[in-house]
Amino acid sequence: MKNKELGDLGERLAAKFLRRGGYGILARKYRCKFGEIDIVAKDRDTLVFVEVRSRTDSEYGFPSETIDYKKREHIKRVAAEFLTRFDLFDYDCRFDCVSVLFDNNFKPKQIELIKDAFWS
Amino acid sequence: MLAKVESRTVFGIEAKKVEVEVDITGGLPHFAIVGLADTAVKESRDRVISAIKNCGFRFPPKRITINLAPADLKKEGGNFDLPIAIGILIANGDLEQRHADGKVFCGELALDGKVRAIYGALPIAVELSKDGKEDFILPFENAKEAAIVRGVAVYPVKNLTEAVNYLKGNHNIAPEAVDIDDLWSKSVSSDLDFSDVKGQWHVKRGLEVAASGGHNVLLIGPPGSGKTMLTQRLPTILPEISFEEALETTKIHSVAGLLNAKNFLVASRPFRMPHHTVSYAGLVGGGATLRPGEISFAHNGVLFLDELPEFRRDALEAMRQPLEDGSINITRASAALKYPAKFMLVAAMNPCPCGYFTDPKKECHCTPHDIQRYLSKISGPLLDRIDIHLEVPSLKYKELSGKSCGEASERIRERVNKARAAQKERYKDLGIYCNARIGSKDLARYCCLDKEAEELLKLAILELGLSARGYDKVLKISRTIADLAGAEGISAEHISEAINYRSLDRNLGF
Repeated sequence: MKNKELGDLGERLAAKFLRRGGYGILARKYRCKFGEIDIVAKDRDTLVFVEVRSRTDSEYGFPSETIDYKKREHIKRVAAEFLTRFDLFDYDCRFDCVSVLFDNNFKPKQIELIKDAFWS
Repeated sequence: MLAKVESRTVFGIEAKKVEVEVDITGGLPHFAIVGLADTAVKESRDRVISAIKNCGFRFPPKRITINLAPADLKKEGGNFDLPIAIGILIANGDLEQRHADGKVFCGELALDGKVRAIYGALPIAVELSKDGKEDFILPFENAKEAAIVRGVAVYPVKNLTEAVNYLKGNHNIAPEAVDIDDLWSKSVSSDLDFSDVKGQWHVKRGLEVAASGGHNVLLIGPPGSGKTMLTQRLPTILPEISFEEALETTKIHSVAGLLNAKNFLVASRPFRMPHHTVSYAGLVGGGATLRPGEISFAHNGVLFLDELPEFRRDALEAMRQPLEDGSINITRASAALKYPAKFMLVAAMNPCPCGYFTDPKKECHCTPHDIQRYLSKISGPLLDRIDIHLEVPSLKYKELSGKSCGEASERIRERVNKARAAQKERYKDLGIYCNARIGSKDLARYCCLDKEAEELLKLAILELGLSARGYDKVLKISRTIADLAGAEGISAEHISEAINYRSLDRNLGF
């Protein structure tokens, strides 16, 4: 399986996981000129920008550890664009991260949600 | 929501008002501290977040802006952790604004919410009592130090939860009280005593005179003659420190963080003994944060410089102006401030590099050039500011083996206290407290010589080559000797003893 397919699979699983957790999914793969956010969701009154990370093994670190400074800056910028576009500035916002770990047969081994993963 | 909490920061030994404004709004989660904060203050963000969460309060992801006003004052240290945390709790709705109104908060937070000690609690309390502010909420460890000041109610808190419960009225904290008279009665009993030192009668007498009049002293003698031993016993005969003096000195020790919960008031005169490798900033104050130096720590006490010629030249020369003015102005690009530095300088040195120049037994093997170079390390202007020169000879066998030890410190101290009391009474309108600080224009008024004394002084100037600067010093020293004797005027015996203490003027031994 290619990396992209793995990512797409991970995102689908993550969206399902979030929906089960009470989140309302507003957008998937929200794109603008600054980049992309995997999932935009609503957790009660809070707008949540979710980054999904998928990996087949944790030998080189957990999936969530791979969100570096550059990635965070991208997500922040897209989030700001999202707020501007839909005029949502007064809403409480949050950045979450879902890490999906697969085994060698591409069966999901572990799905973990990290709430309030980072601040802008 | 917006919250305002009042705090204080120290600048020199003064406290400055800082208003902590916290604004929390929706939007992308963000935490910013503005208002010329240094690294320790910027880092308070992470301490505050952890402390609030670990004390069981919410910390929702929101847009948090913290402003420390006034914007142009540099903010340093962890003082603002507690007021920032209280401000966030108010803005979050865990507390109400009225809970914090009229109160002043200072304290550093640990990650578990414990409130840690701060520097400068005493100057802040002094300032608050001047401003008429009443409630001061501060770390438990600093409570006693701040409670010395009257007119301020000091509420010690151990952790953030306790502070919140107190503000809500769920928990009562009794204002800290310190019995000052009790502190004074437990004055330090030292293991050292002047009776430990055998012989050296005239040095002991010289130190007694110096302690009485606050004169600067230079001890010159071969190694092992007891210079250091004698000086270390000087604190045991220093006059008692008054409450106002103790408060001034404690303020300086407070901003430098030299105090702790047990030792929160400098109740006896400080005795500072920096090593000779001390830098000029370490001695007179300075550095990146404009810390006070050793001369300020020795304020109202004694600064002992052992092995004077080994000190760095720039460090010694930097003391010239503070020796004269009793304070030091530290001016840097970042700020300019003033620390008090009224200290009695006691210096000890050998007469030559090998140390045995004045020793009758051991032979000195230094060349005149060596000696010249060694002595020239101490500049004339510095020497000029030292009133009393004492030669400390090495002891003879008879004195070493002798049983007689001389007076105990307690008895010498009684005389010193009496002499100092007389000076205080005499100079109460001048704003000085000892003979060493008489200005040259007041000299004639307070140092009245009788006929015989005047003749002797004239003879000394003519025959011994006493310099003009020496003249003033002799008058001041003889005034102190007369005070020790309880005499109103200065007579010939006082003058002759005083002349004895000016050996360097007479070039004896060199």
